[in-house]
Amino acid sequence: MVLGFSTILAQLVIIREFLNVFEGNELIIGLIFCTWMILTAAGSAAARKIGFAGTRHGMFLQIRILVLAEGLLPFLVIILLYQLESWLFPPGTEKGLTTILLFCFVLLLPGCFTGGMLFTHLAAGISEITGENRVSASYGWESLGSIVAGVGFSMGLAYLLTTFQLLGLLAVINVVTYLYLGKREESSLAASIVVVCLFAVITVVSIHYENKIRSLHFRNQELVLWQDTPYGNISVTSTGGQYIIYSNSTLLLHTQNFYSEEPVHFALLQHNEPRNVMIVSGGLQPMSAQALKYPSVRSVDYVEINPWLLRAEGLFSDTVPDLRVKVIIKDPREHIKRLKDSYDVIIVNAPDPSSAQLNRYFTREFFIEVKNALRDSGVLEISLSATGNYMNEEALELNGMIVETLRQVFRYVTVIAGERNYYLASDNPVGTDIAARVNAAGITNEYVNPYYLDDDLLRRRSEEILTQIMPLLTCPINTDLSPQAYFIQIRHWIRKSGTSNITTVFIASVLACLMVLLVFILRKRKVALGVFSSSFAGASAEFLLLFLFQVSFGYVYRMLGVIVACYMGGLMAGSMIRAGGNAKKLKHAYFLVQLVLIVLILAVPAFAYGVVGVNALPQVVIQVMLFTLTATIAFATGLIFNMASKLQATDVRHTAGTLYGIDLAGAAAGTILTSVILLPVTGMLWGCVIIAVLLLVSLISFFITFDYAAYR
Amino acid sequence: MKRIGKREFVRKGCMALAGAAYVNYAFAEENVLSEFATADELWKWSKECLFKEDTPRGIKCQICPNECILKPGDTSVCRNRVNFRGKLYSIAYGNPCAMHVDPIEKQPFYHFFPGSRSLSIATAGCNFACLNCQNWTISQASPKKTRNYDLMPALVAEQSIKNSCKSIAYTYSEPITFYEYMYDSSVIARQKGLKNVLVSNGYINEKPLRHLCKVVDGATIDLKSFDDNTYVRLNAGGLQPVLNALKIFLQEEVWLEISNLVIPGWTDSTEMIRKMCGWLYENGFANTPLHFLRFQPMYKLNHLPPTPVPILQQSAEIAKEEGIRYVYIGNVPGTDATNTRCPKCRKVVVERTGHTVTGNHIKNGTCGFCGEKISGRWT
Repeated sequence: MVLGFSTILAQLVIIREFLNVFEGNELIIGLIFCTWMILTAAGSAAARKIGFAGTRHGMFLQIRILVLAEGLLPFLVIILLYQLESWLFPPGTEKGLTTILLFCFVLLLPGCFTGGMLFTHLAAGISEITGENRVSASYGWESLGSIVAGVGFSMGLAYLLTTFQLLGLLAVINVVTYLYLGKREESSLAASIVVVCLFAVITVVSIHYENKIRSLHFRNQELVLWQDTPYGNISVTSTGGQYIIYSNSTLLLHTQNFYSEEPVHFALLQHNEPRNVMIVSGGLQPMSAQALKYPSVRSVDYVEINPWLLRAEGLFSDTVPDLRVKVIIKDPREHIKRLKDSYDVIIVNAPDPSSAQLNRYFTREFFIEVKNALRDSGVLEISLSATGNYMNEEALELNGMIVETLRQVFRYVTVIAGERNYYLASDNPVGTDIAARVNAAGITNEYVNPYYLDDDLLRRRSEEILTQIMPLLTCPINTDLSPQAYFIQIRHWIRKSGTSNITTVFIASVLACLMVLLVFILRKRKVALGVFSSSFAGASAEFLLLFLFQVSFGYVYRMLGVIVACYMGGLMAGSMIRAGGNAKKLKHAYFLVQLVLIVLILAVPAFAYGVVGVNALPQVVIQVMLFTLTATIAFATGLIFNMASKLQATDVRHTAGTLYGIDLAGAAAGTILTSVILLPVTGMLWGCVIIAVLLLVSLISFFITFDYAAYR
Repeated sequence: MKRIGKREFVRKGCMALAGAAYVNYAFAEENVLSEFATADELWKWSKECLFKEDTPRGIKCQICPNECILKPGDTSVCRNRVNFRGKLYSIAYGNPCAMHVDPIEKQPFYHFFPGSRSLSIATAGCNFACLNCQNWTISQASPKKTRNYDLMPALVAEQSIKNSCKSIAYTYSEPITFYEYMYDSSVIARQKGLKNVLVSNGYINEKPLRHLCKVVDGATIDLKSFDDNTYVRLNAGGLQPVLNALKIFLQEEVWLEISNLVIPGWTDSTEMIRKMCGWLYENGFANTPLHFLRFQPMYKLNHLPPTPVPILQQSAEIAKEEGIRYVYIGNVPGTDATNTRCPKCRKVVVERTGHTVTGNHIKNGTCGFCGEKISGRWT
């Protein structure tokens, strides 16, 4: 249980810090998870060969050392992450895929390997002491520890304590476990005291210097404030009198920003008499100040999902209270979902769709929700990164896809090429003659005025962009359940990072290794193949259900902790049920559970399109159904692991090492393939079909070839 | 020694071959010429290079200080020059990938026919690799990979006239890398009464530069920093060749303006800026307009903040203290640092808001108030 708790807590903290340093998109998150699981699997597999010193004392000593290592290594990982970044890279540089992979591998290797070994030793040790195969029970207890850590983290622990305080908590738990195990074995008091003191020093020093360590990431700037929030790390820096707000290293807002006029005026000038305006993010003060320049404006609803951003902005901006401005802390999609004819203009200042979460602001479903919330002559503005003087292939595809998706909903769509590409959509004509409009409206701006903007040149640029993307307007559209835009964005990021062939080869090699592993398992270990494919399916389903939750109910972070708890709880329950009986009965049960899992995987898209998509049931009912489906899939996955550990015709140590490793490898493959390829490329329906086919293959091969004689 | 069966041998052999192919692919560099490997000639957008030298190791391109030596089948660092069957060709000829109409002030040119428009063109390719490149999609690409117009030199001038442009600007990526195209287009443009301007990093050898100066009328050179180490780390270039190029432009009497992008943490050191301005003054650039531009997060430097405005203002003050007469701040709306002041009476002789000239008091190249000569090409 301590192992499960330590692993998950360390994992969540380290991933959070990795995202803070490297920026986060779905690919990076998937790669971190994948690397983590593969390294843990390697450790678990290696522990098959690395036995105890032959005595019970030796067994406990090895376990105790590994427990200590689990408590200490996360500190080193975080400190090295920031320090190496500052030594190896010039300030402000974005790191490419190759760099991130190397960092992941090098920094995660010691901790993950140790964790993998620890599971195998613990499972084997417990089995040895009790005289029974307790591999699945160990898996269950580990899952329980994971639940406690996961739920605790997302419910508030993560934001009440800083990173090093959390690691300090982790260290305390591991040291106490070490001492407890040592007491049982009457180990040396002096050694125990040394260990306690060492950990105390490391923890206190790290907590004391946490600010300094984080400042390494913002060289040449003064780190004024930072806060870990459910939506990422928020950091405020200051340089030369300018304040900057970052979220996971992405620059969100800064003072002295003259271009903040663009999104507001480009949109509001399209409407004859804008009265009610909704603005999503972009900075409360700059956005609302620009909107209030229009005499007809009666209300400005500023919607921001992350309240910490508003607090950070409040540090340096002097927002003069205005009764017309209302701040709504809510997921924007959740806010407009049930509104009708409420706004004249909706301005969405979302970053590019670089993740499944951000992709939600660029989908047909969202545009339909916006259109319902707009009045008849209403205008939507959404933007993408500027394409400048040339649109490369990915930019062409992405812009084309968004334009086509907008055209599915709105009659008129145009683009204004400014600091970003601003797409304006309405059922009334929209235009690019901004200079003329701002003149006619009598609005005085620093930048959006005829001196800076030439209508003729704006028109030319707009025509150039639309002409280039015109041939692509039969391309697929971007939807909630088929989020193709974010896959294009990931490809664009890979190209920008100048990722060489070697990275492509590495990723292809990982996939190839997983395929080779599959073939190997297929040939030799039919039981293990079932574990691999079920954990692949389980991890994929968990990701898809989390994604479905976000798409359907908005980004309510605390609920994600409930979903994680449901999943881990199901896993625990499945792995701890007593599964016994003769070979034939167990084999049939194993077959049946896998069949049930196939049905459950196919139930995911059925649930998505048939229940969530139709939206006829109350929200609470749909959420309960989603939680139940999550837990049931996890239960089946845990049960398969449980039965596999009985069916595996090897000794306990070998079973623990092999199955745990294969389970993690399957989960790693499922996580990365689903998040980066299956979901964005094939969509939810076909992604689930592919996963179900994989399960079916493993099921058939097991059923045909299982060797009764080898079961004992 | 353990014996293996035939099947296992074949299996392991295939895996080894696959592994070798992977490794080869991983470390292989892009070969622009692969498509032409069996063709009789290069594509139509190619021309034999003007400045080259045969060496025992291959043909040396002599356009820029990179001086790539190319064996048959090799491509240059800028991706625009190839050794095709023992001859050096440019494959960026008549195939621009970007073509737009821009106000001349955007280049930036403030003392060169203010208020006019220029036709800006560029092919893919660049001899630098700046971490903050705003045109990285074309500068770090090859003409083989971009979608290009078919616009041979004669048509460039036609396009410019059609769009009521006074000049043609060779810009965006790095025009030095499409030297032959730029040169031939400039010759024809001149014949048709158009001006030619170059927006460049200035990383060019002396001989080709002097040859080019015969056909270009103006140049904005981006002096990216005043430290060679920074030039290497930020741009993959070098400082001295750029300084040499600046002197040559002055000697050849091409109208010159200099831009300096102030990047926080990289090129914002007041000491370096003072040193740069001191060098400019001492080497005869006191009357050369100097533009300090505000950095915006871009390409691989997108984790940096924009340049704080006070830093730009401070840089401008340093330049004036060091004797530079025409100093501007770019990319900062709402400031009067885009106006041209007479260096003698300090009155505003050219008033600008953004890229728009709102007042022009220059008469025959002199201040309309006190008669002082104002450097530039005004009519």
